Amino acid sequence: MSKVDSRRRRGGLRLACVALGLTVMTTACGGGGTSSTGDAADSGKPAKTSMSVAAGAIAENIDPDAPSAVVVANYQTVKNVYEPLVRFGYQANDADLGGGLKLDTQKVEPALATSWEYADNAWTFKLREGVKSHAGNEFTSADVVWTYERSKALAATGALLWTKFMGVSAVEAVDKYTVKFTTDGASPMLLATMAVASYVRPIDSTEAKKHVTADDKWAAKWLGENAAGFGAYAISDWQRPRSITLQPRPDYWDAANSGNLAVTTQAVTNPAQRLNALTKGDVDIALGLTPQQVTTASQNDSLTVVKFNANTRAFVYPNLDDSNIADVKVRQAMWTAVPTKDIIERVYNGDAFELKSPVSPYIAGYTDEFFRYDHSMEKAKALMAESSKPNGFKSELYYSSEEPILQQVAEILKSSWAQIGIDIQLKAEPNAQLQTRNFNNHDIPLYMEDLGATEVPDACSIGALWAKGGIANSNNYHDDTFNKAFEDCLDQVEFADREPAMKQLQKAAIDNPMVIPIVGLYSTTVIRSNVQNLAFDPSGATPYRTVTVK
Amino acid sequence: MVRYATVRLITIVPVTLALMILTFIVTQLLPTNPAVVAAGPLATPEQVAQMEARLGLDKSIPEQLVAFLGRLFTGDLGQSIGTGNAVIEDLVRRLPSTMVLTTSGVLVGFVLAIGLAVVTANRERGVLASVGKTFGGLGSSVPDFVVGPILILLFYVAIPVFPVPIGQGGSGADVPAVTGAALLDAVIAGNGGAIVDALTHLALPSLTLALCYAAPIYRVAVSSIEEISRRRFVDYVILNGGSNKLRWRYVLENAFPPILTMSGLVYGLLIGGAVVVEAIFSWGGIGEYAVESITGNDFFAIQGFVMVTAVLSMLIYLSVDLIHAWLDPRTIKRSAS
Repeated sequence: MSKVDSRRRRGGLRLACVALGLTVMTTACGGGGTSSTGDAADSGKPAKTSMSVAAGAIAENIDPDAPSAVVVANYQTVKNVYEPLVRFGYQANDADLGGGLKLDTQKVEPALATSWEYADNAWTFKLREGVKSHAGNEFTSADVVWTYERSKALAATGALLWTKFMGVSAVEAVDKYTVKFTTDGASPMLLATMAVASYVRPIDSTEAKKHVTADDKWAAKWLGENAAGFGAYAISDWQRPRSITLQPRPDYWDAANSGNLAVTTQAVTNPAQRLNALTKGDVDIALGLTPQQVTTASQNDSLTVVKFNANTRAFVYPNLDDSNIADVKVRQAMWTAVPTKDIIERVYNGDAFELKSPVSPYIAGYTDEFFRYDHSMEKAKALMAESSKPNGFKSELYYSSEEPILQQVAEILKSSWAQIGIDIQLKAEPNAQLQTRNFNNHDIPLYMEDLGATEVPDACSIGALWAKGGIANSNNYHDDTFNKAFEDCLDQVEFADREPAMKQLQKAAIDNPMVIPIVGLYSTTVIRSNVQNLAFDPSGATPYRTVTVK
Repeated sequence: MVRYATVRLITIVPVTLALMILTFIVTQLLPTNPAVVAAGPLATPEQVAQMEARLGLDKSIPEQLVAFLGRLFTGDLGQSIGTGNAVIEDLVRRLPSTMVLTTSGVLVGFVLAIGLAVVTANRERGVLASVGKTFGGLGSSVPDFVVGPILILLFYVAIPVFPVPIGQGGSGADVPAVTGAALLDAVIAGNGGAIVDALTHLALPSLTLALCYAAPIYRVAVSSIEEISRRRFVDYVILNGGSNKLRWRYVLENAFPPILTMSGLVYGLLIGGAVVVEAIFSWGGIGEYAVESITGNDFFAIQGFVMVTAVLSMLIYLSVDLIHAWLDPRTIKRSAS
């Protein structure tokens, strides 16, 4: 699925000079473990009704299915103002990761739909009655149909989801409150996709149609600037590009179970400045801090570091058209030679975890039972000796020049892979340029990135990414066992029935790696200690309806 | 004067056209396919081809150039890949913020430089002379990414005189976003509290720019004042019993044109060059937009930024020339000859 725009996700400008200047300041104000306000969690205080968030950027366009909808700052707002048909429930996050809430990816709950059933290549949803949009229009099946037709016409990310992940070929209104999705087979990822993806959330078609013009048949211009959904929040103030304030909607269908916090998000380009404002108590949540800043924050009693086991991962994508890397033994050797623990400690200050499957651990169907690449140089050398390249080879590892942290990872990999005879030349290039080369030109032998993905939290989804014709298969991966397992996965609706196929998919992906996993990165947010019930969204966006501030 | 202004204005046209063509050529040289960036990393080759057609990138280079120039003349700078908005809208939304910041920075720097030049000119020794030399030297050598954080450390962290140095303050539901610059919007709304809030947010970034970019103005002012002070007409004023005030009036009037020219140069430079200060204070101006666009290979946004800042800089230089000519009419004669 669509990848997060790294420059937005990581807070935009990374001018080394700015970082240099602000390092002094961060150390001075944040490193001492004290706060000028010092208002640690105080359960005796009444809950606040507003909260301030410092993020790298704020939404600039909130059309749920615009090309720019893949930018995290945009869908951060979209996810809070638009509501899905179904959603995942939450469960308590691990206490040693800072608490909060995390998705329960096996528990799909009703949202705008109250019930659903699958039969004969069709999913039928009963819609919740009496739900009002931002404009006060009632939610009906016509909204779902119009949203689908719009996605299809715009042919952007939404269209990709409707077809590749949800397998939907048609959407029709059965009656005012019933909608039927015709699917290609069982489409088992349909519910999970709906639950997490912002691109397919129903739009208030009654309102949007009022703003259709001859040049803009799907009201893209108007929807980019106005909320027309059925979600928990409305936009009360929007000072682009500096700040946006979301106000909880009293007529939200689940208002009784949601928080009442008005949330103002300010664009704070420099992450050191975000930490600075958080430490001083001028904001309640800071997003997108660097590992070093997180370490600094963790020493401050008035701050809490909350980590979620996320889907942001550092992977090396081997181009399987490259004869050196095509041999499976070579890739196995490379994976075995990755000094994961070293990278976690030296580069990420412990703020990362080992990957034992290409599937993220929080995803339904994840298993680590087939993992067999514990770091061992002896084993890696043995694998190389068995490969078609026993004497090693020269290659090139490309990564974004805008990601200084990847430079450190690359240097460690170079050193480690040199020990098994693979002489790697490091090549840092601008991210956009690399995207062209990797996804369009396919002329990069090894490509490393550490982006997150708004991944469908279902282990079958790796099939949609890397099986034959998969949308992420830019490295020309082909494995018959993997393809067969994906087909099996798509045949079943119930989780229990699909679980063997999910395992088989992961086993195939480990036996014949399409990627060389380096580390998984926690989605880390630093909050004032009086902020509670912060929830995790795998896309990196923060849903606000669960949050309370004492 | 009118003829001079008209001629100067007309000379902008070919320069602007050349700039447009140069901008087009430079962005064509970028080693990236903008359609790939716009279509997203997981787009299929068919989607990339569709995007190329949508952006007009499937046409020949001359056809693209004609289309580019045609769009520019209608004010269409294309659509930003990063924000999803029309580039012209993005720039219009951010430009007032940058103008407020740079204008205030240059004004504060101008006052600081002139004031310091008046008290330090013609002094070789003493505390004031040292202060002047230090300012003239350090002002050019200590960069804004050091001065900004130091000011924050002093006046927000250590002695909390100013509010959190994030953004422009002054906004809120009762201050409608008209221009996009908080100070201007607060003034338009007539909201006193918002004006004060916006001014306190403006203070540190403005002072940072002033401290970092006033040094050249100061050095020109000092040398100009010293040079004029040595002229015979100044001695003549004193010998005729003219007051010190009258002497300074003559000195400053005659020293002013080169100071103005330097201030104009600094102002023009800062329109697109205050990016670091904008980043430090999360100002939300066009400088930050430019860096975001460059790092994201946001093709049309880069073109739009270059065009707008170049045209604005040229207009500023034109204004400075006209003021210069108004102050010193000999300029017009020299230009004519």
